[in-house]
Amino acid sequence: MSFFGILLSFSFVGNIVFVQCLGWCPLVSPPKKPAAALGAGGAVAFAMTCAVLVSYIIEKLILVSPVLRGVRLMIFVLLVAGIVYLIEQGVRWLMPALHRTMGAYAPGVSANCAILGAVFLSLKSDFSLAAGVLAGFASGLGFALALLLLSVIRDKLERENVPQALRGAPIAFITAGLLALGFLALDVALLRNIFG
Amino acid sequence: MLKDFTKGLFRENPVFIILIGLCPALAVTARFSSALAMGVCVTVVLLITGLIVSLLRSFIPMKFRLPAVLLIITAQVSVIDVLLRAFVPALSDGLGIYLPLIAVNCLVLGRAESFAFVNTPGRAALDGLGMGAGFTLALGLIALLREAIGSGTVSLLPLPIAGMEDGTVAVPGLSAAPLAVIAAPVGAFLAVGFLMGFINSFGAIKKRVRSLRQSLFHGKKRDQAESAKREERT
Repeated sequence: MSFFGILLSFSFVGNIVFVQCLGWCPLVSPPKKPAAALGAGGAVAFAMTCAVLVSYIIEKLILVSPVLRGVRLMIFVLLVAGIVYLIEQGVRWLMPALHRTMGAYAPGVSANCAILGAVFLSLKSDFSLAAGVLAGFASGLGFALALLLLSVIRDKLERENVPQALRGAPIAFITAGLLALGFLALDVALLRNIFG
Repeated sequence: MLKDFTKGLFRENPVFIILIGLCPALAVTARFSSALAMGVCVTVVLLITGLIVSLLRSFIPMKFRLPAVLLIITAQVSVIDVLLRAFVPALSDGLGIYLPLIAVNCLVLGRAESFAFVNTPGRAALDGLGMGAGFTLALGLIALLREAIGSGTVSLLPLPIAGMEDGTVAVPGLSAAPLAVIAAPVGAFLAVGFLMGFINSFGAIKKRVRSLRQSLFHGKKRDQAESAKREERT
């Protein structure tokens, strides 16, 4: 697959939020300001890229012996938790203003599930190092896009007259379903036809 | 004590009310059998994690809480992953990357952090069991709806028992022309959204009936006094 194809298929066709259904716990109530959503999305994308890079190296260099395969999951979970912690501290130190606006969305434990998912998806595809890292970055891009879309839509929905029972999380999920319908339109066969 | 178990079923249902553990509820509910298997796996992990974390809670320093809990959960998930891959490879393939992802499931982490760390082992185990049962119930409900509408079948058994492959039953009337889009991720979001809305409206009706009955049985005067008191409190 070409690099452009990987970028498209991991950010749109196999969007980590709308197609793989990952990382929903923090997305149920997305940040209200689009700027905060972009900041948090960027941080998660950065975390995904780093996590895929490090885990690729570990997988190919260290986890080759079958004895070590048993602790593979343990290593990856601790690795992702460590990377998320480091990035959170880095954001707090370098850009305190961004950290404050992001609030609970500082990519804490909550985005772990999406980041670990991106690592598994990228490793499963059996790419080269560069392609794998690009896949991780593309997954992060897809997450940032989803976060931005959901936060803008939430902002608009709050001014609408939504039926009492559907207010809050239910309408967010129905909206996500309609968005997922849009992502369904982009499939691999279509992209193959366009880009060869 | 018993309340620790029953609260997870309906009143504090993890998927529909607390809104945690949503990734598997969305991702593996296209087939009833895989949803059931996921529910059972998560219940086992919740139960054992609750017990171990609660037993070790005075030995784990505050600073290493998260890594300690992560290690406890991941060790169990690794064992389950290996066992499933060895004995039921079809199920392991069906759950895909979502089985190892139980290790960072918000539900398991959340219960360990918020309940098992501050309660006795017995209560923590009951809480884990109840939350797991509520999670399985929610997943089963979503999957039943999605599989019946999306594929026109219901696959009842996660494991091949007594010669039956997965106990697939065709739904009359739907199996001829299923609505395939419901089996895609779209259906997961719509099903969860509408079920949540349904449960919310059910709760609102229940509340209204309760207040109506109160005013009928206790007379209007007492009801007014109660509502005045309630307003004062808020």
